[in-house]
Amino acid sequence: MQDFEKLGAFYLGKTDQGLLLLDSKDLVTHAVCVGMTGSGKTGLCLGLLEEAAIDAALVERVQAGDRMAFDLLVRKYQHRIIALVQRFVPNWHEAQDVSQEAFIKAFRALPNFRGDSAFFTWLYKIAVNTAKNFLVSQSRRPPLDDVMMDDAVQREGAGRMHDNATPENEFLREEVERTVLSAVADLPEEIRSALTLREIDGLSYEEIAQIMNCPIGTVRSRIFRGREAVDRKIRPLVEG
Amino acid sequence: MSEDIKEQLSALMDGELSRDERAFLLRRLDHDAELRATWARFHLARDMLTHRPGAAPMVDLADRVMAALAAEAAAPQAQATARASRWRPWLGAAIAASVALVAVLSIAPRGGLESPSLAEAPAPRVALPAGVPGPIAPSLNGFGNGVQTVSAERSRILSGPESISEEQLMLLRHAQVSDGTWVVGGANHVYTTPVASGTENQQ
Repeated sequence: MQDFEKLGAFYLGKTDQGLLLLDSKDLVTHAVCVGMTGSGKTGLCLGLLEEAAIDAALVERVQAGDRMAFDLLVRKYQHRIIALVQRFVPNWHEAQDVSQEAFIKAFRALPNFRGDSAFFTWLYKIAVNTAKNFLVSQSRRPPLDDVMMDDAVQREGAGRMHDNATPENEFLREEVERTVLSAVADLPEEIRSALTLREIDGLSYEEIAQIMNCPIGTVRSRIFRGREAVDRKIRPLVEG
Repeated sequence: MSEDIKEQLSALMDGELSRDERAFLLRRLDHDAELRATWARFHLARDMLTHRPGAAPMVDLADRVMAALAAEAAAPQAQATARASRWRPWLGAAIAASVALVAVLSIAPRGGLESPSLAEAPAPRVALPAGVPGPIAPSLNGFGNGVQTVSAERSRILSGPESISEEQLMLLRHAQVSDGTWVVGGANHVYTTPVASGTENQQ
């Protein structure tokens, strides 16, 4: 996690020692960031670094014996993991079971997780292997080509299995998505800007503060108010 | 749940809390189910907003996963408890026998210097019935010939009548064992019973 903080400080110009502070692993991350951001926009990279940093903090706590920290990781990634698993195991109920098994395997293996890759990358591999093993155990053939990480994370609608998802699930998913987009569209302009700069563009609070010419505390408050407004709309849907 | 805590939660998911704030909030999350549910919904909204493939908003794998992990953690303990329960009567019997033997050894020199060994102790003897149910203190016969296992003793007891002196039986009846059971009974029944809860800590 110190690596992420160090690299983040470098990108934000908080250190004049630049790459001299970074070790070889940081350099690899730096190369990835430069490649990802291309036009010099570092926000997406910082967003990912921050997300990885909180994951690393939660992983540390799990490794120290805090099970509830693992609960937070499950809640954070459950939707993405089950979407990924559904690409291998289309049946909704089976996909839930396989996803659950993947999380349990991850929990068991977590003491040996050293953070050489981001937690989600590691979790992703476990989920894919669990799904493939399930198919083999069912005498079903796993797909020849692996689902690529970028596909799973970025491709819109990649995990939707319309033929196999129950109509209720599919309806609810679409309704929640519509509700989220509608709620964001209805936000006051300054709140909507802060939220989308964070969620869509992946900028850090400091970068958003610079763009919006306001204190970081205001950015934090606006992003929260945006999330809270969206949450008020989707809560009745997801809690039934 | 205060707005301030939820604002901290929002900053937490962006990695924008200080180390101390993060530690405080994570401790709070440990015992605040509503806050954890909010954490899940905030991430669901993010997944939807960024068009990540959020397959199933209604899914709540977290509860299922944590319940499975809790059951998994409890299973070995239950097995260990079951194993301990299975052996506890034998342990009690073994300890009862040990206590009885020590008592007999300490009394024997006073009571019968003429007797070369307890095995040759004079009558009266009480026949111990065959097929005594459950664990039982081992026979004292041959105690001086080396250590004998409880299972071996039990086999011998179950294989046929055994004799035991009144004195030995009396000692067995009143020997308190260290695992919280008392050995009680008469000539026909020797068994263990849990000690009253009020006396559990008197050992």
